[in-house]
Amino acid sequence: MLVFLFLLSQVDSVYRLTDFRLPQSGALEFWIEGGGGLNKTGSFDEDLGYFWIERFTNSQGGWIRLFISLDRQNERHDFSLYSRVDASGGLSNGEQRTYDMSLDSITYRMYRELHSYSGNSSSRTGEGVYLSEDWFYYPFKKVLFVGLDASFGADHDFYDDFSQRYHRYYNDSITSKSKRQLVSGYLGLYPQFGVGRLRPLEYPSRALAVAEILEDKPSFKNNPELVQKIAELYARRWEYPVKYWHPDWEFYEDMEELLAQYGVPPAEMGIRSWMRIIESSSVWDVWDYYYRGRPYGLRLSVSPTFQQSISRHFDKMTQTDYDSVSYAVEDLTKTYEFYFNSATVVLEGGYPLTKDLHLQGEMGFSPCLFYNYRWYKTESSTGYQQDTTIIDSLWKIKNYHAYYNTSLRYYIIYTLSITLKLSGGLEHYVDEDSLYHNSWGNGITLGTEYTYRNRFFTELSGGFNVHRSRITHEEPFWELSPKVRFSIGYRFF
Amino acid sequence: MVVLLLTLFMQRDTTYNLGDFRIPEEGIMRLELKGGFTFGHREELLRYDTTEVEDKRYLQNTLLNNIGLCWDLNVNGEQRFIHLGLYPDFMLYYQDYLRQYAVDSVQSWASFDSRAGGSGTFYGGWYIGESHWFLGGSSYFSEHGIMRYNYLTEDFVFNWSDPRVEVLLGGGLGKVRNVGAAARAWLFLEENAVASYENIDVLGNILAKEWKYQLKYWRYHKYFYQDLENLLLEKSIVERLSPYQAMRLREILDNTNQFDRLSGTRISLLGGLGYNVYGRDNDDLEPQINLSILGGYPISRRWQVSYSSYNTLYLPLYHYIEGYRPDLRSSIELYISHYIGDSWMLSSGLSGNLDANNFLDYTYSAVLNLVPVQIIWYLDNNIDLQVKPSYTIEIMKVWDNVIRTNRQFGLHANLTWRLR
Repeated sequence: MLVFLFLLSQVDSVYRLTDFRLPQSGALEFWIEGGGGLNKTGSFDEDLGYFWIERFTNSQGGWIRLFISLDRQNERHDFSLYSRVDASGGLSNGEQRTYDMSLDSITYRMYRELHSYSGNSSSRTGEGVYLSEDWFYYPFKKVLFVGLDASFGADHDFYDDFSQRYHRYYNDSITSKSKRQLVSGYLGLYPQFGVGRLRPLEYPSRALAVAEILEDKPSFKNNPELVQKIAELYARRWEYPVKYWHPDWEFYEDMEELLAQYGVPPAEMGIRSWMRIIESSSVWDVWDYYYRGRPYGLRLSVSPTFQQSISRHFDKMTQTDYDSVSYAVEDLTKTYEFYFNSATVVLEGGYPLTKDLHLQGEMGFSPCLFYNYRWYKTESSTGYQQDTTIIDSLWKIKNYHAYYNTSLRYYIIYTLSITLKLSGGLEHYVDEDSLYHNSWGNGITLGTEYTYRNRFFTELSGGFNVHRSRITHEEPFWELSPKVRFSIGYRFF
Repeated sequence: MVVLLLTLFMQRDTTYNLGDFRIPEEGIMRLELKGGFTFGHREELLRYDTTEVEDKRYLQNTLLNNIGLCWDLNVNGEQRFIHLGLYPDFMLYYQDYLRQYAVDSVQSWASFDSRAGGSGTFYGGWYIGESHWFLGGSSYFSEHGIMRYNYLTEDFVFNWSDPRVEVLLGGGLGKVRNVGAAARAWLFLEENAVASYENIDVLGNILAKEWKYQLKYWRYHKYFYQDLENLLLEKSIVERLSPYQAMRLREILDNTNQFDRLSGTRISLLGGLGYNVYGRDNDDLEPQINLSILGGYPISRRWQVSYSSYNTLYLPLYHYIEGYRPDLRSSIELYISHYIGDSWMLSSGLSGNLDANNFLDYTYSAVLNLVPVQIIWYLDNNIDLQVKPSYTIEIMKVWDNVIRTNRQFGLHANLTWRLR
């Protein structure tokens, strides 16, 4: 596969995307997105032939989000600012059935009988705000950087839960209802340093698309200087919404002027060429804001984490046993938490295999290495209080987690692409009873994205995750989760 | 003062009379995806005009979400007119009720409904020679499946709505032309300072033929805009189309605000049969007579008056219920619209309905719906946003001694994406 991809990368157009270096670039976006998704998880457990346990959960939800983001790169700085306001809601239900396995004395076949059942359904509605910045400073214009990643988030969620339980031996049936309200916020600061740099190739790739469209014009002579100039113009596209009420009108007038300077007379262009250029000009990756602009290069960063969070939790719970209320409680819980982890190591990268095929990804490793500090304090209106401090030093490496995300995107046409994503992670920690918890999961997702005339976009994706978890020497627990997701969005500028 | 301002404002607007542009055959084809919500607050009063006054009061809130496709084709020519429409849709609506009696008694309940299905219409006519008289016909069908959840009874109910098919034949008088293409051509040419009667006529003619490209080619833009550019150059209307002009042209043409600008009046009288199915076992073949009026008048490029009226007399063949007599259903609509640039349309108007069931017994329902201002904003890229507040008064005579009065405030917001 890698050999094939390598060969593909050799037979591309006359120019290589990676040859174009832009002194500065930027993107400014404001868009609205709404969507929904379905997720199903199922697992079966067989315990030494005595029990058979089935578990299923279904969840579906929808959201609407408003985003504003700004990206800016120049010789010494890579900077991005991202903010989001969202409202979302979802429904989920799950059930677990445990069966006794017995041997029929006449047929000598195993049969099963319901031992216990529990089911629950939950609805959630919530809204939140999120703001983050990511800044890298290259003092020597290349290789080494220092920077600061900061994020702030606040959420308000409302849960309405219902659950039911049945047990054959005790012959009881208990239902409980609860309403929960959660207000939480956090502030995180992540100083970072490391080596390497990611450059966005979206701008030269769109410039190459323009060059391709113009190839049939008699006066057009394909030259790298013109492609570079068009790429630079695309990289300054973010300034137009700031300066003009109708940014597109001004932007394409400037492109016409640029083409005229390089020998393509305006009279030769024609409405068809302009329509094709405008349609191919989608220099935004709005649907996938973690990996924007076809990154190229490698970046290895190390970042200590400081995170402060505060949350308010209000629970109102009623439990009913055969129509009589057996338990009712209202509880307000306040939690404060401060967390410091000395290092998270992240490797990110991207490479254009061809101008239409892009590979990118990241992997991170977050060990509780050198020094790890966590303090949290909980106060409850019922009188419960907890004040806990956990410190892990270099000699006590017990907890860590690692993750990876990779994606391979193929642009069928300028505005339509399909993406294959692989992602997964590994987590290992030791709880207060010295039990080891190990879990890992891997997922595969296939999605397609379409941008309609540079403004209106849709995304459809589906895939599944496999998850395995294990506690010390117990039998491992496997889960399979198929999922499907659809979203639709509109970019204002 | 208002009249004076209006007169001054309309001076530039009336350089040409849109009604003078005679495009031999113009048409519009639309395929749209629509989605939105409607909020309604309704108050019902039930009054008995017998011995004791016992009023009942109902309050009802409705939140309706709808999503649907809309495809239609309208062609108006010297010799014929054709309308074809298909409207598959899906709706979700939540209603909560509060029933308050004159004596101290309150009852409330809620229901959650979803509806999926569709309807279709066709009408057309052929003019006799070069006269204004025509022979024509119309047909209509509808069918929906409805799933309802009632919070009071905690029941799910699913049933098919009563399907209906109509076929009518007849004739009429008058011609209606759509001057939307000329209005859009005028706007584009005026922006480029090349507006003249001839230029508007040339550009309007090709804009009115866009529907033929849409039917002929899958990616019709490729051919339509190329031909349009060639025509503008050939007729020396512009020297070239700059990117700005190309974008403006496309913005003006994609915007659906100025699609339906009618000039003239058409009256038709049709008769035929309607077939209904009621519930599982009952059906009904119903002769009916329909008188309809459709028309409009473009006062200027920015101002437009539109009107329509549909009146149907239903004559049942079978008498399932003793004393069942003919029904009359009438509707009337009158709107005045104002277009601001190519992005905004403001309109104001009213519509009325008269539904007389067993009208010889004087049992009726009369509805007056006022729309103080309706706003349609073209965002761009074929997307329109529509907001329409309305106030509705309904007076029903339910039976001899009971008058029911309903008042409803409604707010409707809709997003339309023109797919083709």
